[in-house]
Amino acid sequence: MKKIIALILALATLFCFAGCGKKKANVKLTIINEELGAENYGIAFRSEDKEVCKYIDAAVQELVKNGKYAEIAEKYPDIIDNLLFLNGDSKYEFDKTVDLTKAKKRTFTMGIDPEYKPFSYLDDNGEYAGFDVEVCKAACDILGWDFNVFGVNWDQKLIQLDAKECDCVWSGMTILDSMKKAGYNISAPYYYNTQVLVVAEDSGIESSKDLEGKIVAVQLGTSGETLLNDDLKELKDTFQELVTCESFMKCFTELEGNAVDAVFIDYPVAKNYISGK
Amino acid sequence: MDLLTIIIKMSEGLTKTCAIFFLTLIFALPLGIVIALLRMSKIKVISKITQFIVSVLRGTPLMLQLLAVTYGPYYLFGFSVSRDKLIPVVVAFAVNYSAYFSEIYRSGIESIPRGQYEAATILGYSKFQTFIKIILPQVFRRILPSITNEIVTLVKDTSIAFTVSYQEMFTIGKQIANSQTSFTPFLVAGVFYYLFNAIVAFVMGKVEKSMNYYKI
Amino acid sequence: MSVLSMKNIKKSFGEKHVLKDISLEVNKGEVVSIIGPSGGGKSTLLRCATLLGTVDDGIISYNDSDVTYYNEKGVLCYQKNLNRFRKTFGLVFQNFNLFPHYNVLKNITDAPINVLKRDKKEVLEEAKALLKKMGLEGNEEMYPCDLSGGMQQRVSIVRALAMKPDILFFDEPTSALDPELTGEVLKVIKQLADEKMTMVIVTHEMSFAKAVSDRIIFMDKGLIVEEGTPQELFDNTKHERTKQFLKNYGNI
Repeated sequence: MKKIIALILALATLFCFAGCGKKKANVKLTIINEELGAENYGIAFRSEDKEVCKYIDAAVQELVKNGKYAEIAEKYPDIIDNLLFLNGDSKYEFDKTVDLTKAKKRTFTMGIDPEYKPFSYLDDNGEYAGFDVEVCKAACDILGWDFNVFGVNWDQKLIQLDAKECDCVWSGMTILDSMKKAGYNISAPYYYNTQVLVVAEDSGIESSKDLEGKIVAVQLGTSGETLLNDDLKELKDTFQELVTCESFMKCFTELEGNAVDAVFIDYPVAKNYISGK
Repeated sequence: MDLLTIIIKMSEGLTKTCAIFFLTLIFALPLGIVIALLRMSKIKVISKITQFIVSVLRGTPLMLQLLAVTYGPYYLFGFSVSRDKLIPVVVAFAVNYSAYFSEIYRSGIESIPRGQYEAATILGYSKFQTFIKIILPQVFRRILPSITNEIVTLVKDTSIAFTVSYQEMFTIGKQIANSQTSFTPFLVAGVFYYLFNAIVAFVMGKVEKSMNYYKI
Repeated sequence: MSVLSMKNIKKSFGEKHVLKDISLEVNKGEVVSIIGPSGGGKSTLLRCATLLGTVDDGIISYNDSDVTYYNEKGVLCYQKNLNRFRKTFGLVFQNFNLFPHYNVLKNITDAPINVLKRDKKEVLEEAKALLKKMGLEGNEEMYPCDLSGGMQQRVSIVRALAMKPDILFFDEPTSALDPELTGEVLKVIKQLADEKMTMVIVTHEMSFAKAVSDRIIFMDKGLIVEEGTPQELFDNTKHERTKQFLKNYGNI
């Protein structure tokens, strides 16, 4: 009897694995060509860490000067066009008095969303990778700091920063006025971003106007969510429902699984996801 | 956003939290009895398979089961993900909780002395009558404190529905916390859960009292 | 006419032969007491007679209809519908086994109403009359936990009587009671004996057995060693084993 049960269980397990190996439903996704919000990415530090912020800014500028920054950027073709330090759009006034050699040795922990390809993610070997991660690592090398990574809960990122679980949030993060008002130190903006809509190719949705009565997903804690609750509130009110997901991967799962009609998301992430599929 | 607005916004999500709570109880309480009876079946295969399923349901996180129910059919077979998330959420919750309830029922049923069955048999009660009229009321009386425990846990567990993007009270709290860079919504959520459980404790206390007219 | 007849009953638990070829008949209006040492098979015999346990071999019949029979292959079988036979007998347990969540009246009336499907009003009236007869008047709304052991046992006797059985079995009805409470229960049983209720009583109360019984059966090691009228068994004991057993109970 036991043998029979074992056999049944083994078969059930096999079936499950076979199922997992099956190809996902082949849903073609597309980005709607409509910029729904423009904003910049930056790095957030705790209010008392003004000095740290300045050191990181200066170290990144050093990377830009010695060409290392461009070298890293070339590995990420999806985002290279919008990097402000490379295309000359940065109008930030840097503090020229910072002396990189005076940085005291310390451990620097960067807080990232580990599911935010191409800025920060876990690569196939289970190592932290991505544009932001590489830049931070190189900056720490210049400062002589020990580099460390911490995966934050995106919708709790600032609470975790305050709790000193990490020393900065640096992960394709949109700079919001509310962060500055709350006293966080914000680095020089380094990336120009727009919010876009991703839909299934055959959905017939061609612009934000077609979203009336539809269900739209957005990642909880992203600037896209904030935008929809503020500047784009009128657009949001035409939706049947705005669904907030805890990761952008889940947003796309919902879209591919036809549980939602569109995903509102940062352009580079959308582009990377679609080209990577 | 002032406190009142936060409370009003989060109250809207509270109806969805309540929906999970009540629907889960409505399905899980009877289902638990069925599972307990299958588990105690004299047919070994049925009993063993049930035991295995219960051990899986109790041995894996509810969050995982929730993800499996919601997205599993899509990843495995390419079925659409349900638009109304209440359905997969209630299915996962009800199945998970019925597994816990079944073990409580089982311990309750096994604690009823043999003599009760024998007395009922001698008096000519059918098996069904014996179970419904004689055994089950005594079982409820014995297991009520354990059931109350589970129900209190269920109130708090409803927040796990966030994992599959179900817009219940805690999810809305998180949204507000995030957009306002504020901790207040979490405090409000804490108060909501506490009050909810205070009501649960009050109601269950009443039920327990109403059963206290006899000793076992 | 015999109400209960058991012929060549055999029963064993594994290697242990608990009942070795027991035959027994109880006639209408007869009171039979079964005595004997613990482990002698008395309780097992009662469980087999009340269909709570099964026999390995032998024919049990109530009112001349057989509960067990041999099929064409010669294998012993039980009839399909046993509830038909359960209506003919009642059993009073050592531990009363009242339903704790029902009050006294419901304990007594629920089965007649919901199993026998009898008229509710009639059953209630009968139950009240029975309670009065047993000296339990005024306790209708009490719950078993509120009653003394003696009262509980009397309620359980009423519960069995309310089913109007042809024969009533008692399984050591006073063993779980304090000595001062046994009297009230024995008095009730005596009362039933006087009314010519057919009864089989397994008991350790020798003087009671002697006073109430028409016939006494002494059982040991799965066999009926000796049986006869109380006078024959207690005053003219034939078997050495019986004498030895009765010696422990002093002068009866």
